[in-house]
Amino acid sequence: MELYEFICKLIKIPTVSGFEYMGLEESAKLVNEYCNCFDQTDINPVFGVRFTKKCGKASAPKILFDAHIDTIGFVVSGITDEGYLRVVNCGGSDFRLLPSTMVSVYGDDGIYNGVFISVPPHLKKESDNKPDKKLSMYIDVGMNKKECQSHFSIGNCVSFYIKTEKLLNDRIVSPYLDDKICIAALCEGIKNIKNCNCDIILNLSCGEETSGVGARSVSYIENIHCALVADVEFAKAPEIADKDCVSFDKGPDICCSATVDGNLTDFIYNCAIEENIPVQKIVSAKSTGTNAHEIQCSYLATPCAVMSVPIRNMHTPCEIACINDVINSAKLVHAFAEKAHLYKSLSKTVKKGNNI
Amino acid sequence: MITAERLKSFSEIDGVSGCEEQIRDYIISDIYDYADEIKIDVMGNVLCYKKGKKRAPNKIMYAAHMDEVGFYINSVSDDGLLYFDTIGILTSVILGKYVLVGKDKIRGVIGSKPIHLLKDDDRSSYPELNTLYIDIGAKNKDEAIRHLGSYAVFDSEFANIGSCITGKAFDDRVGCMLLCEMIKQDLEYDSYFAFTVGEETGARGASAASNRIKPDICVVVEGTTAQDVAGSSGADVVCKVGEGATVPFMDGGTYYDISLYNKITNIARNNNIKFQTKTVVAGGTDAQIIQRQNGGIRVIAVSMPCRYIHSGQTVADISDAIQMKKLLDLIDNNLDIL
Repeated sequence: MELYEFICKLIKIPTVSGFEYMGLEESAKLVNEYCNCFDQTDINPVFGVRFTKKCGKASAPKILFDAHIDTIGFVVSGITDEGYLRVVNCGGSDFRLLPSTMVSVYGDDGIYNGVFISVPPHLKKESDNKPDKKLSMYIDVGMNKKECQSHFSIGNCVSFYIKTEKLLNDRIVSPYLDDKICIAALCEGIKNIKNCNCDIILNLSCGEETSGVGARSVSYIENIHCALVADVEFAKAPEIADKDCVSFDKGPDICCSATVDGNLTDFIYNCAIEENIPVQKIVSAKSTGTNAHEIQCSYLATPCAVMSVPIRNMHTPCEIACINDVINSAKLVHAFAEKAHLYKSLSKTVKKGNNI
Repeated sequence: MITAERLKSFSEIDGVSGCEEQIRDYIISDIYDYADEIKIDVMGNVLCYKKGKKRAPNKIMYAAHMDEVGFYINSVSDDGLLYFDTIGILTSVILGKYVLVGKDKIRGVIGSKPIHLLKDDDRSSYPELNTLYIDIGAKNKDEAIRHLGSYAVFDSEFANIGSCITGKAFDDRVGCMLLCEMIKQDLEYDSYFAFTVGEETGARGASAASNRIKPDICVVVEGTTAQDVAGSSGADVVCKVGEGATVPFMDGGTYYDISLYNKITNIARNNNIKFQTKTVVAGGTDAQIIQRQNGGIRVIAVSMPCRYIHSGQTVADISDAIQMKKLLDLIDNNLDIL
């Protein structure tokens, strides 16, 4: 299976935040088929899917790679008398781009097409160009109320219609590159690792877009030497300030922040430089906005760094990434995994005792 | 045959106003063996004559427009982004959408600033149109400059949606489809057909078409706004999907001929044709221009109700098109009393 095919198949599996259970088994099967290198697979509706690859060496340190498997979406909150599904956001999506957007509704007895309603220009006054959040949150499924009630219930989830395509210069456009493109980068990087002195855990966590529950559960894995969280970053676009984004085609970015492990961040950045892997830096002082924010300081704390694949149009049906950046991210994952045993965390015993 | 598949074949062909050549070629190939005369005028309208069993007491022209709403690329940035203007489309339905640029159908998307970076002011309004761009993945201006001046269309999914269908350009490929079906069958009376250009830019082809043919009566076959959606009630609904052919007495551009309206709605009623009228005076058709040509032409419209018209995912019911065809056949059979 080629990388692009793997990405397309991964994106097609529904894993709306809070409803990840719908796609965990199928995702686990796909990852195992693509990577064919893991010794153990664990599935749990709270933490997600966890793969373990042992290096076979005694007392090997554990390194963890995390990417979130959940995606933004919507949840059915009611059925109107006219037969429309009223929905609420599940994760952050901009209601201004919903009108006339096609969706897939995961009903009680199958998957159905739907379209968010919109108002045509013939019925709008020229001065009336303000987005209406309340009106934006209704989905047309082409049914009357009775038909709706036989196929849908309050609590059904909805995702953007999956359309994954290529643009020029090997760019990929699709909904849900956040964060499935990073899952692909991690899998691509891990699958061919041969010379590793660490046991590797790949964690595809739930709930990043909503509750953060998956990230918190990662912290309870014992004795993690260090962790690399992979999530997407804003790619350069005219409407985004330079300080808030990174470039396409210049590799992954490493995030500098007060809320990640600075030493580990430098270590990973230097891995890229030593191996001539294109890499960028971005600064998010107060928070990286990723699972690293939870993993770093939860329970007994885990040294964390953040690596990102740049994408445009984040949280829209048309997110764009460069396949080249995914491949370079995978190379960095591979390089880091092979050197991670050399990383020394801050943790040490300065003066021995029996109380701590 | 009036089927969803047939409407799909018409609707998926590109034909933004001013660039109707592909849909024009398709229509001509569809009707070539059946029309008795086919001409293309200087505007690009396709004008046809079909001999019927009888000479018509009134010269009748059936009209549908070939063009669809879309985009024109008006500038290319140094980063290879395509800036554009729209034909008949509001900003509210273009954010986050897929498009196809030009005859080569280069795929692109109209993105949007990530929600994480929006300020409160951003959320309460749409971006200005001149700040939006189509991203085709080009790295620089050199890769993209050839698209300057190109059109772009929505890259839409044609799909079943409950008992309805969704896709682009039902306005007015449904009209084109129905006119083609009429041309392919035996007609009661000699009839003229006009597949017009430029309706979405102000009915620009209709004048030349109607002045060339000079009909006494014109039946405009269209897609029209249905707003039977959540939050709409009473007259604001305009017309309803699934409730049959829409015959308006008036819209935003035309007072339709009241005697035609009364006679045709009676014919529909007497023959159990499902039909409705429009309860909001809104929108417009080629009729607004046709009516005023050649000393005055009696006009009527027969339309398919379409939700989310002028967007990439219109929703309609093919059964309404079937009712429209039945009504058009009855108009042909009853031309002597109109």
